[in-house]
Amino acid sequence: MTELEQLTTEIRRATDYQVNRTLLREKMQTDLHFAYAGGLFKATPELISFIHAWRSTDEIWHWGGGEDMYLEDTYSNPIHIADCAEFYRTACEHYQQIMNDWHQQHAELRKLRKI
Amino acid sequence: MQNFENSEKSKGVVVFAFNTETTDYVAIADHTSRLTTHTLGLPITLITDGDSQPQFAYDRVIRIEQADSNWRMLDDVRTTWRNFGRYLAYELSPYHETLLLDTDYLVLNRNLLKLFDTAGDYRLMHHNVTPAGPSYEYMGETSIPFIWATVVAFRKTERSRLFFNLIGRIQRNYNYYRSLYNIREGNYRNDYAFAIANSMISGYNLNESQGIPWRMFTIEKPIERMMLTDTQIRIYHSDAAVVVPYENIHVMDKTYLQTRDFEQVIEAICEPA
Repeated sequence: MTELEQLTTEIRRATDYQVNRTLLREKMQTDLHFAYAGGLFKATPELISFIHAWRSTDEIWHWGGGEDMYLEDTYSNPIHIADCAEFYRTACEHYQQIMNDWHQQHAELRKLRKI
Repeated sequence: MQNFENSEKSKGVVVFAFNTETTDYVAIADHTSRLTTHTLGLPITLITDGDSQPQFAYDRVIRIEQADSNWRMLDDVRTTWRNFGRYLAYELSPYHETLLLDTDYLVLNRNLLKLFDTAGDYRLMHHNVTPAGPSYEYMGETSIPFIWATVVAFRKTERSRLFFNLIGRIQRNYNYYRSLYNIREGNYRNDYAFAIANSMISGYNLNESQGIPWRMFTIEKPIERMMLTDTQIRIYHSDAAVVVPYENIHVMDKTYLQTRDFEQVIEAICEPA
């Protein structure tokens, strides 16, 4: 194998890892979606933080808005969340499950990586 | 948009398969339907012609007349393509909530079921990604982007009925709509008819925000073989390989889908040792 061929092969292998990593991320972004109360949500750090902040604010100020709320879903519809605590738990569990899965599969990809 | 809180009605999958001289679409449907049922646990209805002999235990087999043939270029070869009649899915589906899938779509996870748990009339796949990156294609230089009719979720509602009727009208008057939308290709494609109907019914809006909110993953290049691990699928091409997680895959290479290797992949997933 010439030096150029060797270089080409190595670049292709390096590229392969980046492609595989991107495709894995794509799948996990899909998996982060979950259906709740007729709406479709994506379990993101922003969503989880917002619900946490909403509930914390209610605990501090006792303004009575903590048990139920309306949230905009992926389809831009306002969804009635009757039980904020349950929604928060569902979102956290879903997020944690997908991120764990992502981390595990990413580690397996790294094992395959040659460059 | 109507609200459909009652999701206890029937759910199922509908696939269309019509054999051509070069491709046994019914055999492909047999394999991919087995995988779909294994993954989603839903009944499947096959819509085909009077000659085909499906082997999979479908929930129902509906036979329709389809005399007309279309054509397309595959690997620079002009091949027959019997893709007419997809608009009949609304009328023929025995289910209240239907996933309309192409035979070359491998369902490897349960994400599509989430669409049944949300309100809406129909959901379309607007975006696609390949190992080379995201693709977003227009029907012509001055046209609108097309929709991937590979995966469609719909409920039997008035709006869905109108949507599919419109697709039928577009198919019957395709030359007119082709001119109107400045479509590049001459042959009829469901991807285009779905895009036009969706645009018209949405007030000439692309309505992407109401589509399936993730991208479809497509493998365009010819496949030599696939290998499974517990968490990955390794797809080998003649000049490269790609490692993908268990996600739904649209496989363009129909030749591979008719190989013994593909059959073994399906067996390995559906009947693990």
